[in-house]
Amino acid sequence: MTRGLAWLSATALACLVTAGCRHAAAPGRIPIVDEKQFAAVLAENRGKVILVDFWATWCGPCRELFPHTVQLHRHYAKRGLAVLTVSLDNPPAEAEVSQFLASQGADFPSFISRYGTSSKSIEAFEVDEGAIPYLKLYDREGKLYKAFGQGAEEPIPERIEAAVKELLARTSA
Amino acid sequence: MIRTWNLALALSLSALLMTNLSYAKVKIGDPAPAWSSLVGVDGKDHNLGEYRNSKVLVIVFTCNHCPVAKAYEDRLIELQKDFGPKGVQVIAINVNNIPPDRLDKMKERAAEKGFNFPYLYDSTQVSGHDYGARVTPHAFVLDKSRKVVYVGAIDDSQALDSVKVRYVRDALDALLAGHKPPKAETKAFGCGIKYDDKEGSK
Repeated sequence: MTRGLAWLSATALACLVTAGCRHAAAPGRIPIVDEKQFAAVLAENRGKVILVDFWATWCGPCRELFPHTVQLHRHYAKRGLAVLTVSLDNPPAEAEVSQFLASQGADFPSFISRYGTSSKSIEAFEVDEGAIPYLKLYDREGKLYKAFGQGAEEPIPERIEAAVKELLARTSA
Repeated sequence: MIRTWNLALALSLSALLMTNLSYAKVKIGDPAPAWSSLVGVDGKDHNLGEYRNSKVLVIVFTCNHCPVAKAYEDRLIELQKDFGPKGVQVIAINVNNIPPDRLDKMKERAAEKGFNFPYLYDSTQVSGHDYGARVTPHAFVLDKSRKVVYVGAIDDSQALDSVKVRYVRDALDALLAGHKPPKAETKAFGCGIKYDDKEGSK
């Protein structure tokens, strides 16, 4: 229920602030966001541990890691984990993004960077060294706890899960 | 006293470890790290010095498999076509050792696309470490004195129709006119380079 609401509000937010409103509301369409809109989505999830997966359909290692992100959501959503994903695909590739998300059974809010595969995306979403997959893990206060990816910790599933568990345990007390 | 010494020792040890773990990364104004004996798709060995007659060099760390790198292949060909006659040389280097990026595949790709610039393979990955190349494609522009004058993306968007700023072309225009590049550093984006030594990717 809460998840549904979060999704709706994320979509609604994207509707409010982007020209793609009509499309964003349609089934299977992915909201296209800039960094401010995404920051608002993060703020809406304050109080939860948040994992953000930056990925793209063209990125092999991202596709390999994605099922793990889906699993983390399945296992830990009830304990207070919010999972969000931001695709750095070029917005016209939305159908491919949508298709991939559906094939993965991704039932969490997913977005596409309005800047696509570009320098601006890397700057706006602070993807450290410009390489994806890049995951950011925020604590319940919205503070960045750890990043996984090139230039940060290695994005190994076990390590990401351990950090998620650690944060859930630490902050739910 | 002993405690102080231990602390000093610990600090210097950790400094040493840091040095070992964090590879050099060129900064704007640094002399370009030299490289030599890099085999090209032409089967010959190449080194930085052999391009001494070119006014400006554009070194691009790239590879075969990465869709972002592929999206830039035609742009690199155009770059060499447009700027070659003005004394600019594009040099592509691949440091990935995964099967689709090995020399035999590089040769195939270069032939398919008709690369008009050298495409070199550095299986030691040392050049990538020396320059601090992180993604494919990652561009480094070297001026006449072989100092690094631009580091970053080739242009600002993988999608050709979204490109607004052509960073490398702008840098070349400026250099050839005797000026500094309008922007010396930008954020490169693409596929992470697969360094065999994981620590090297720090």
